[in-house]
Amino acid sequence: MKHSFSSILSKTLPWIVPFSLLLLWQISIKTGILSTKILPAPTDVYFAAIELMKTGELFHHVWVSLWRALIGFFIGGSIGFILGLLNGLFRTTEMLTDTSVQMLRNIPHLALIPLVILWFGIGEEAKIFLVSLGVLFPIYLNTYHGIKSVDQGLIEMGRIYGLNKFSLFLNIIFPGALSSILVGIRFSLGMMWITLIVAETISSTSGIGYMAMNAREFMQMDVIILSILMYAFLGKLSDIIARFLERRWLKWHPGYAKHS
Amino acid sequence: MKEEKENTSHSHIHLKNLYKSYNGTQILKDLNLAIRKGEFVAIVGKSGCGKSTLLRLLSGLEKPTDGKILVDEKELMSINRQSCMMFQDGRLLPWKRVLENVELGLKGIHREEAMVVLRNVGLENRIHEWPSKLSGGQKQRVALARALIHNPSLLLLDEPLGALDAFTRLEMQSLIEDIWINQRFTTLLVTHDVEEAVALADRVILLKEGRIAHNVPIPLPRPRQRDHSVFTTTVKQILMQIIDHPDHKGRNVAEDLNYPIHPIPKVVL
Repeated sequence: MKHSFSSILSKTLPWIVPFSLLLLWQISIKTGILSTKILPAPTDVYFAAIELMKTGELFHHVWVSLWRALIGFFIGGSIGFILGLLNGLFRTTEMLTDTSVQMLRNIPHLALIPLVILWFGIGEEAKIFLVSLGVLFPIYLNTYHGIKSVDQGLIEMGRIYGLNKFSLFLNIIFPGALSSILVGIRFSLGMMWITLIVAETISSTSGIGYMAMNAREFMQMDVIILSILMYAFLGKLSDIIARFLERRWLKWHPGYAKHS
Repeated sequence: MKEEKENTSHSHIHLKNLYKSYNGTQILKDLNLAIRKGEFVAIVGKSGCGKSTLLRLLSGLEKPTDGKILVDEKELMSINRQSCMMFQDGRLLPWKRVLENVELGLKGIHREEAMVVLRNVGLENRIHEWPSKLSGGQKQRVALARALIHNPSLLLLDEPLGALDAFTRLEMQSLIEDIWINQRFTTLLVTHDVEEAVALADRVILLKEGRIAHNVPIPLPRPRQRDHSVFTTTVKQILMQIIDHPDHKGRNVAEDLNYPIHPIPKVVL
């Protein structure tokens, strides 16, 4: 009995604060303490969501944003991962490219927006380019660092036990770097959404950012809030996926093992 | 001359004028040593005397600066494939379960062999455990099993029990001794613990500043009685020599370059 009570408590506890805030919000709008020009009521946001779902607009914009995010993540992530692997493993490519990558890394990629618009216009390429650039560096850095920090003692042990270079990589170096690589993935998923929000808000004809900017023109407060919530939802979703991968691939790690 | 040749002709490991230096600092100086097949040799000495360096050279991880290492009369040029090494920190792969750790470096699946060696070290019911869930002693048992599955003819032990508590250490010592008695691979044990060296080894070699300072045969019957007077005096003598006790100053010379190999004492159970 006691056990089930504490498990119910641990499940409900994290939700108490957000629900109270939501309730407070609703009450202050309905009693007129907060003007609807500043914030729409939560119920209005809910009705706007239902409305936009009926017309199919919501799904369309979310889908477009998700697609851009994934393509950008895939391109930038692959480049960052491969570059990180090469520079972590081989001294020559490290000397050849690491300094340049570190220089580029320090340019805020969002500062390139004017240039990117001139290069690509406001088409898909511009947004995908920016997202790729945003996710590239966190993945590069963490892959590189992960490989560099693999325990040399384990590599030495592998050599004594007759592992060749490829099986050293497969059995020791890559699994050793994996937790760091996953940190990079998690970090870059955040970067992916931030970049996309900015890019879509500035120049776009579709996507969640466009939905928000369009709603601003017509003073549709509820749609603006809905767009922000969509970003929050998608951000949380990617975090859940990243956590799932960590639990699955790092189950040997006492720090990541599922608490039973 | 002839006698020396006879002595070394059937040796398993033969070090000839071995030198090793790192960045100009000499670690090992003119080491000459012959180890017979199946012999259990312990190497003791202060920290930094070159004990671990010697093992790294024998495993082929490092190359000598000068001189030769002969394994079965052939010069060792790369990783010594007939040797297996056990380290103080176990060096298990944390992302592989016990069984997979033991199978590391084998081609294909060797479930049965792995089960046999794990049974030998008493871990047959922990095969699916992650290393992080094991105690220090259990980790070293897995490391020992991983070495044994390769049927090494040379086992290099680099202070494998140094991080264990006293009780577990005694247990592991008798485990290592039992397995060695059964399989008779040549064993080199580097240790800080003189008692451990005297309890396990056929002879104890004392390294001092990169040279062999003493080469002490231990002709006691096995398993050795640690409270036996010969045992305790031997331990005490070696300790005195390590810490440069004045009584032993005069003997601090490398007197044993052509060390005659003693027969392995008979096992008394």
